[in-house]
Amino acid sequence: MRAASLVALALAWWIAALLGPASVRADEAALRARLAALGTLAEAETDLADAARAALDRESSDRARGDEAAATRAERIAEASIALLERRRAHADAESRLHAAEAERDAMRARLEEARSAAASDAHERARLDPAGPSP
Amino acid sequence: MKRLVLSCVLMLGCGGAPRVSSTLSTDLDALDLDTAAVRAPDLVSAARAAQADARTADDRGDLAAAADDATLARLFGQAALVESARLALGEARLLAERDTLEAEAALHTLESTTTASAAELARLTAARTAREEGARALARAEVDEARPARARHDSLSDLGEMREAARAIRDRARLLSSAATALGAGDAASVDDLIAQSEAAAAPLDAVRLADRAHAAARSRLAAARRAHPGVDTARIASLVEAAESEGFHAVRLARGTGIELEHAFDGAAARPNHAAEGRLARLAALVASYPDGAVRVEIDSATTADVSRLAPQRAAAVVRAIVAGGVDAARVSAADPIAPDGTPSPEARVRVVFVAYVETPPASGGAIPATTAATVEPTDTAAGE
Repeated sequence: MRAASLVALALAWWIAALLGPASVRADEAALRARLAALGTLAEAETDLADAARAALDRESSDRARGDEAAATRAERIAEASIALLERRRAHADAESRLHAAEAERDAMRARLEEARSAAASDAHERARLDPAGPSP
Repeated sequence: MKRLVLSCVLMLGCGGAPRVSSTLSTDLDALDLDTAAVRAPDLVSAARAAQADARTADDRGDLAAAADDATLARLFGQAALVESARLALGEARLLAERDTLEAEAALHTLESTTTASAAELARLTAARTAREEGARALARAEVDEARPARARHDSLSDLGEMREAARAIRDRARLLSSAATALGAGDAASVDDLIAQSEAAAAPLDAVRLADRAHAAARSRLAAARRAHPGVDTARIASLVEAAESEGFHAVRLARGTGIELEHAFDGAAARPNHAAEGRLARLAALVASYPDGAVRVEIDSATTADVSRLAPQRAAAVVRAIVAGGVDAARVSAADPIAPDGTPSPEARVRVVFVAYVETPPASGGAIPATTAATVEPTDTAAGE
């Protein structure tokens, strides 16, 4: 019984040892995929992207030499850098959508103003043409 | 010992190497995170937490961890600013979209009002134009009336005006003549000759007179063409038939037009329509008014030969009166000669209103609408003049 427990414990440790690095590698791959998904980077984005890559590289090396705390910090830096890049992209998108909405609003206001002007002109014309109104 | 303590105090007082957490505090203060905390509180909290971690690491002398935490704090701080700005942009976009929708709704309301207003404006414009035209015509007539009879005819004193008038009349004559030709009218030589004579006339007054004759000749051509041309297409005839059937009448296609029949309109030997027929005649009058092309003839089928001369004319006149009373121009409606019995007398005293302009070539073997054999009424003019 004791021998079986020991074998099970050893097996669990072995599985944990296998899965641990694999999950870490999966996180790193996911971060690199997010970085790649950003596509072509603008000049202002390259520094941050380089910092993210450097942090990912450092995470690997820290983890390789067994410094889990440093590796975790590096991973968090990489994740925060990539998230910041993504937020900047979203900000740029929001800016362009705002400009489009403002342009549409301005165009609609111009149409409304034009229609109001035409309606006022019509009202004036009706008043002029009305038999009860002033004769030309 | 005292010297050592003093040098340590001096080193600390002068700062020595700057602490990571101190530099970080300065940087974060510059980011104005308090404002960003309104829209991105989670990111600001993360920045503050990383800042606290950096301070702790700094305190325990772990410079690498302090530097990492400081980097994280700066990243979170910048992310908070960007996120806050993005959300502000989104809010502004929503406001702009709401304004757009409001403007659009106002525009739609205004446009629907404008459509009704445009119709009213067109009506008022037409009315005003008619009033002004009437006033001008009256003024001209008054001036003309005040002149001697001889001078009235030649009131166009200016030669240029006379030539201009002659040209305008000739153009109008050409237009009418072309329309007549398009309707299949025959020889246009008389009109063309008159136009040519008008163009060649030396005296402006002669040119006007000849142009006027050409215009009259062209009008005659067009009237003749219209008389010869049915003028109503098959779709409209079908529409009339459908309208009549939907009103409960019986439509017949005749060689002399499209007939709408009304049965049991008279009782016995009465010359006036019975009570039930009066309402149906009113609906028939509305139908006639809705299809205003050309004349309509009222025919009465007689049951006996005696009725042809005695009763049928009275009944036809009563029907004509009923149709005119229903709002139809009296000039359009007339009573046809009574139709004599053809061996199959109509005991119902049938009334038939024939739309003479609504005629088409009947099919060789009949159609959905039965053709009658009666054809004693000749087609009348569908229009006269222009």
